[in-house]
Amino acid sequence: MAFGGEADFLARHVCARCGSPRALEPAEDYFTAFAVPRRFVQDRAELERRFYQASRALHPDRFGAASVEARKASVERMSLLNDAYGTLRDPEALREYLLRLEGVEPPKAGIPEDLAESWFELQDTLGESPELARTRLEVFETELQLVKSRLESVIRTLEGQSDREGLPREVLEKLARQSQARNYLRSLERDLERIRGKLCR
Amino acid sequence: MSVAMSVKDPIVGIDLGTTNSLVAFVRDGVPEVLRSREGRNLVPSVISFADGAPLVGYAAKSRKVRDAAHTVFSMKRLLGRGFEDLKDAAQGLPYKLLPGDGIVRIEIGGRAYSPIELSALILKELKLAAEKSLSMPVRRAVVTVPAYFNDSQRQATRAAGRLAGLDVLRIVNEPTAASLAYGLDRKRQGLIAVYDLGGGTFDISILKLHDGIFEVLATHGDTALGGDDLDLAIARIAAAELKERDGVDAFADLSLHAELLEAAEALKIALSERDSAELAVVSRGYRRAFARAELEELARPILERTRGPCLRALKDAGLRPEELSDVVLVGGPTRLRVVQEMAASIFGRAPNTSVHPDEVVSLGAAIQADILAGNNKDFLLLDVVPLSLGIETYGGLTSHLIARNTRIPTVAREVFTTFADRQTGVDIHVLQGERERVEDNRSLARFKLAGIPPQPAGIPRIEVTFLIDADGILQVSAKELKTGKEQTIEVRPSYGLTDAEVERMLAAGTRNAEADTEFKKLVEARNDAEPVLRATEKSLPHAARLLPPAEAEEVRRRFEALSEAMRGKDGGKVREACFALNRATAKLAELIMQEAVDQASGQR
Repeated sequence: MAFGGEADFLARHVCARCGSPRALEPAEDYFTAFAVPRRFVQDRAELERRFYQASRALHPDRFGAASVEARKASVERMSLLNDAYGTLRDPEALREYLLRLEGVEPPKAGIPEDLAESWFELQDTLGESPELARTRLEVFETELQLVKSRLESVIRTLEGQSDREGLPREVLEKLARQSQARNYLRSLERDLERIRGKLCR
Repeated sequence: MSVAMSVKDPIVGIDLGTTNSLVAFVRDGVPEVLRSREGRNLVPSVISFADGAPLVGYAAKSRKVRDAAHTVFSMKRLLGRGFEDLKDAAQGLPYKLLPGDGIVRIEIGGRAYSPIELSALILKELKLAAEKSLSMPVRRAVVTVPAYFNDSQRQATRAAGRLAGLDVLRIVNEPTAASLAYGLDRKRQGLIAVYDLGGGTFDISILKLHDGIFEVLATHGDTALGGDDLDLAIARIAAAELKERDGVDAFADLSLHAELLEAAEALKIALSERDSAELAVVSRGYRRAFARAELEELARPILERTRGPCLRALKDAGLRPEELSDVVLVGGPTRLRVVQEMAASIFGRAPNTSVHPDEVVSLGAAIQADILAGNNKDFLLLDVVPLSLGIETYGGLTSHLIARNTRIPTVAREVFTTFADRQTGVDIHVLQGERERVEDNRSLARFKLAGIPPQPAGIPRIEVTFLIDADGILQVSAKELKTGKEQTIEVRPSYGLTDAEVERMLAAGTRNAEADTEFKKLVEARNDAEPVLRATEKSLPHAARLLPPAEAEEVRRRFEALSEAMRGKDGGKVREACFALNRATAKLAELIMQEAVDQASGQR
C-alpha cells in the first residue's frame, strides 16, 4: 500500500493516548507531515482527506484550555500542515519543493531558443508600427502556447519517470532545467500582458 | 437551560459592527442572540457623552442629532487607522478627528479619545448585557472582524476587548462566522460564497463546507465600503438641494449633518420595503419624495465596487462561479433589492437570502465560542490571511514572505545580518499588502533587533520568525543562529497602541471606575438625605417650643452638619450626618405628630 495506516499517520502529529500535539522535530518535512512518499505526483483527494483529519486533531482551536507547551506545539504543527498542504496540492510548488529537498539547484534560464527570434522581432516593431506589432504579438503568442504545452508534457513525463525510478539524479537535473524554462515562459506571459495593454490603448 | 446554568465561565460571541453590535451565546447547542439592557437584540454602535458619562445603544442613537457634538458612531471605520489614511474613510462623518501621527483620535467635549477606547465602551455594554442575560460574570469572548481587516485593525479590536474587561480568545472573520451559522444543520455542504455587505465594510469569502469542516479557500474585500456610503450619497443630494434653496452648508453644521445622515438611513430602510418613500429633514422643513429606482441609480456605482473583490476571490480559489452551490447574503444592506441584484449579476445566480442578515454573524461567533469551550467537537474553522505580509528591502521595495489567502496559522522565517562592523541593532519594517513599493503597502510595525554581539559586518545571523496565528495576527520572534539565544525585539506598531499604552489605559480605566462608584455613592446619599433635611428645616421653629434647650440645640447642630456635608463630595459623610440628624430629630418628630393628632381630636 502506498500510504501508511491511518493510526500511523495521526500518531506522527498527536499522542495516540492523550491526544496532545507532539513537539515539532527538525527532520520533519512536507512529505512526512502527510506520511506520503517523496513523489511529484500526489493523490489530491487523499491529501485533502488527511488534511481534514489532521486539522481536526491538531488545530489550535482544540487546545484553547491546554498548557502553553501544547498550544505552542499545536500552532507549530498546524503551520507545518498548512504549508505542506498548500505545497503538495499545487504541482508547481510541489516540483520546486521536492527538487530543493533533493538538493538540485535551479539552473539559470533564458528565453527558449525556438522563441528567441520571434521575440526579438516583436520587440523591434514595438516602437515603429503598432499595426505590425499587433500581428507579430499574435504570432508570438501562438508560438509561446506551443512551446509551453510541449514543455509541460516533457515535465510530466520526467516527473513520472522520476517517481517510478526513485528520483535518480540525472532525471531530477533534467527536470529542473525544463521546470526553469517553464517558469521563464510565465514571466514572458506577464510581459506580453503589458505589451498588449500598451498596444490596445 | 440546565446546561447553561452549569456553565461557570461562559464564552460569548460578539459581532462588533459599524452600525449595530450584538452578543450571542450557545445554550444546549443552540445559538441565540442575548437581549441588550435596553431589551432589544441590536445595540446601535453609537456612543453619546451626556454630562461626561457615556451612553451606548438606542439611548445614544437618539442623541445623534440632538447632541451631535457629544455623539459618535461608525467607530469601526477608524479602528487601527491613522489620521492621514482616514481622509477618505472618515469623509462625511460628523465629528472632529485630531491630526497627528500614529493612531487617530477624536475630540469629544474637549477630550481626545482613541477609536479603541470608544469601541471598548460598546464592548463593555455588550458584556453587561450578556452578564444580565446569563446572570453570571462574563470575562471571555470571541469577537468578529471583517475578513479583510489588516493586522492593525485586528490588534485594535483585541485591545478594545481588553479595555472592556474581556479576554478576546479569538478574532473570527465575519463571513466565516456567518458560514458557521449557515452550515449549522450540516445539510448544507459544498462550495459557497458569503457576500457580506455591512454598514462600513465589505467582505467576500469562498468556503468549502465538508462534514463539519469550514474551510476558507479565499477571501477579499474593501474595509471602507458599506451601507454608510449609500446614506452619504443620499445625504449629499439633500445637502445640495438645501444649499440651493436656503444657502446653508449642511455638512458644516454637526447637528444638521447628523440629521441628514439619519434621514438618509431611514429612507434607505424604507425603500428596502416600499417602492417610494420620503426623505425628511425636519429641522429645515425639507421634504423630498424618493423613488426606489432613484436610490438604485445612486447605489449601483457604489455596489459595482464589490465586483472586483468577488472576481479576485473566485480566481484565488481557482473556481468558476457556476461551481458554487450557494451565494449567501449577510449584512443589513443586503435587504435592498439592488444589492441582491448586484450579487446575482456577479455570480450569475439568485443569491440565498434565508439567513438573518443582522444576526447571523453574532450567532456564528457564539458557535465558534462553543467550539473553543470544547463543547462542539464536530465543527472546525480553517481560515486564511487576507493580505500578503512582507518586509522592506533595498530601494523601498517590499519582499513578500507570506502570500494572501495562505492558510493560518502559518510561519515564515528570514535570516538577517549586519551591514557595518560592530553593529548591534537591525531595523525591520513589516508591511501588509500586495504592492511592490513600500509606500503603497500598509506599514504594520517597525521592529528593532537589539543587543546583537558586536562582530564584523555580515557575521551575525539572526533568524526572525513571522507567525500569523489563528486570529490572523502577526507575532514576531528572533534568535541568534549560532548561539540559539532568543533576541530582544522592540515593537512599534504604526497605527496601534503599544502594550504599555494599553496597560496605562486599563489602569486609568480602573481609576475612573473607582471614581464612578464614589460619585454614584455620593448621589445616592444626597438623594436619601434631601427629604430628611427639608423636613427638619420645616420643623426647626417647633424645636425651641417642644424640646428642652439642650435637645433643641442638638437638632440645630446636626442640621447644620448635614447641610455642610451635602455641600461636600464625600458620600460616606453625607450618610453619617443624615443618620445622626435622623436620630436627633426622632423625639421632635414624635412630639410634632402627637401635637397634630391632639389638635385634630380637639377640633372635633
